[in-house]
Amino acid sequence: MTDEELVRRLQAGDPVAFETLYEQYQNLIVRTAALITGSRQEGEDLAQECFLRCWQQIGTLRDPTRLKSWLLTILTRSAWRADQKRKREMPVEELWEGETGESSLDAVLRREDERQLYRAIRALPDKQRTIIVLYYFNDLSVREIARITGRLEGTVKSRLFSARRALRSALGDEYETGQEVPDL
Amino acid sequence: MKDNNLDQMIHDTLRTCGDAVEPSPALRTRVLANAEPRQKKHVSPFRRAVVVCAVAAALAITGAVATSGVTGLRSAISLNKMTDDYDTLAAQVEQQVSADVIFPETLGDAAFRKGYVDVVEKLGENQTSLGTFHELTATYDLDGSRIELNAYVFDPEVEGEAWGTDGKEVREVNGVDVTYALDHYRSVPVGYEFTEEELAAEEAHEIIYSVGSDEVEDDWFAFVSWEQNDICYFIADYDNVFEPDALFDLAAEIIQ
Repeated sequence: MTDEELVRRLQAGDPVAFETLYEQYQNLIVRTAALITGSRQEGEDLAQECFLRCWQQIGTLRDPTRLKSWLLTILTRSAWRADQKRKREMPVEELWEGETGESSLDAVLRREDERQLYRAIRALPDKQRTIIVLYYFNDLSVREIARITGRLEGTVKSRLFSARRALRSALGDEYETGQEVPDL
Repeated sequence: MKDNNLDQMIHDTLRTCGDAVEPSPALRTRVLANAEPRQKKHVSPFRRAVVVCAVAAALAITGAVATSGVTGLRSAISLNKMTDDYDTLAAQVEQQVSADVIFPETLGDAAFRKGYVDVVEKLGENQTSLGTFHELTATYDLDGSRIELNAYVFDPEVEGEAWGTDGKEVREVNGVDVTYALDHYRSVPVGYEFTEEELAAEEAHEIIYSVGSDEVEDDWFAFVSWEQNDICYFIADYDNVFEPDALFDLAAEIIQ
């Protein structure tokens, strides 16, 4: 089913279409949410909120071809809200401890430098980390990320630049080259 | 190692971690079980004369609200609260107003220029204070023209009765009722003696007065207002450069 048809049926209140939406987008949303939060459980909680907000607010989506971007917009806003709430409620030292051991997302990484990189991504400020995930995992352009996050393209580029500089620094001198944001 | 290798490594690392995540069967059950039938939200037109707050350092707005004992609002602009840093203001909005406020860095083709979060005081009879609330005021620039966005948490004491439909238009934008209005504001000095005609015009909701300016000034401001997710929004066109359609389009950017 195309996104246009899916949106049309969702806006008509078709519960079967909602199930189809979930099937089509569950991997994208859950995986993106898990990478942003660094936790499978929190990722699933965010994904649930994202799908339910989509169901309730689908009437506000004017351009059906933007369904995927719109879902990611809902997801990032929900993630940032959750992050704010967590910062208010949790001691700083516990903020990014997250899951450890086999349940940790980086348990599948075999190389130490990749684990080191993953830890550095986790340590980024939430908005930088979100933009890194959207750029490198979701393969979105700077323009698309700007639209999704409601930020200027210059802000997105600036955050990408800062994040990459922090990641280079975390990985050591052999990565200390280049300054430009590449066009993926 | 070249930077491209870093990019590839970030990409591969996130791919490896992300693709290993499989949504649990329990999530499917949670999501589908909680998708309740939708109910269309009907929002009554409401209004509040926030746009005049910028014309003087401190203004009491009379007649702007009409319910629950609140007879006016007072806002004092503190210049030291003003910031042109979007991220700083966004953080203040999340902490002081609400994390549910949608505060974009761009509005249409206009870019954020400056803004602040301020405390607005609810006034009762004899100017007694009935409490306060926090409000975002953000200014956007478009080719030298100024657009202002206000947002605050819905407060039934503040949202007065609808002031009639003259000069107003209500459209459904992305499922939310948005009200357009072109209102006449008159700022007057403290101690100004209102004429019978002026008081009658206020009574008829034809004009909104604010007290605290150096001299009598008349302005006409167009704005759109709506309530969404318990947040009240106003977008004001100070320079009267936007047609109603354009203001509704700006509202749609936030409601979307």
